[in-house]
Amino acid sequence: MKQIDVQKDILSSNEATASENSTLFSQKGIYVLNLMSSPGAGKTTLLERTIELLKDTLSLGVIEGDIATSYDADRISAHGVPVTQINTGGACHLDSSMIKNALSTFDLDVLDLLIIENVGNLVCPAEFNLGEDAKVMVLSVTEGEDKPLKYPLMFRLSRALIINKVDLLPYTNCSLEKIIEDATSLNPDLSIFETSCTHMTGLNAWKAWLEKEIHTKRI
Amino acid sequence: MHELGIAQSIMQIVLSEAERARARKVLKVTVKVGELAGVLPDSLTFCFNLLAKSTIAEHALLTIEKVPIRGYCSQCESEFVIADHRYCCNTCGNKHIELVSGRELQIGQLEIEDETD
Repeated sequence: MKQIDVQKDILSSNEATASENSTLFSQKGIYVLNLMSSPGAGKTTLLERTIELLKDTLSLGVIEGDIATSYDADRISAHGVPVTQINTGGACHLDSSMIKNALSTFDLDVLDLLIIENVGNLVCPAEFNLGEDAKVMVLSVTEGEDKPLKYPLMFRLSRALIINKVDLLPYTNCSLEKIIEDATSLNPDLSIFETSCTHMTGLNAWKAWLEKEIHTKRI
Repeated sequence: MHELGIAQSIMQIVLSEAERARARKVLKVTVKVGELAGVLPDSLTFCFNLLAKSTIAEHALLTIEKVPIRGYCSQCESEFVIADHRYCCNTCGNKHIELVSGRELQIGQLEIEDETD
């Protein structure tokens, strides 16, 4: 019997491809968001609103990640921006090689902003870097205030948290204060936005944050 | 359920390391899993055993070592275990702490049987 001291990161091959993606994005001057949430938090609707707010001033692209169907890509496509749907066929998250393969469908020379909508899931997407500039989470108030402490890694790694569907707060027993308190205890640098995509509230602050991020990367 | 993807990555590394060492059989694989990684040990073991079938790692024992979440406070220059999601320095209360451990997803050691056995 013999022992081998391996000491190797299990996700090292994903990290290596993520780093290649990141280098390519920097060379092309593209700012990349990895948008994550549980299913039904409102990622796609938020994305549609964001596209409408930015498409006149920026060149956008979208990668949609879902286990199955092209429903989301069809919705994004209706807004006139290039979109590629990745169907993971069962996998609960996107990984960096899926993104690398999808990039050939875009004209990277013209893109300013690429938004990757990850598969709806609060656990797995957090572990797999894609080469993005920032991870952004969407949490809807109907999911409850206990989510930050139940899913700490995603809150810890995200740069921004969008608390969505705040118009529904009167119909839930969810405490917005508790979400903010727990999320900032996990991540004191988290930028937090309170939005309603049906009532179009809170979206300008989110837009301003995103524009500032894109601008900072360009400098 | 990202345990299957993680088990696949483990198996790729294990089989390539075992081949390089001219192993006839893999007896044991030790992995370190941070408590923040959100990996279920039973599920990871199940996936590992499934993928090991018909390979030289079939019947290998997967040992999962849990790594606690530890933080470092640069103000106090102290290191501490983070329990109950209290992500702050337990001396001065500083919230801007660095994570020292807890995110590990690492292969530690392999035990193999080679031609000399």
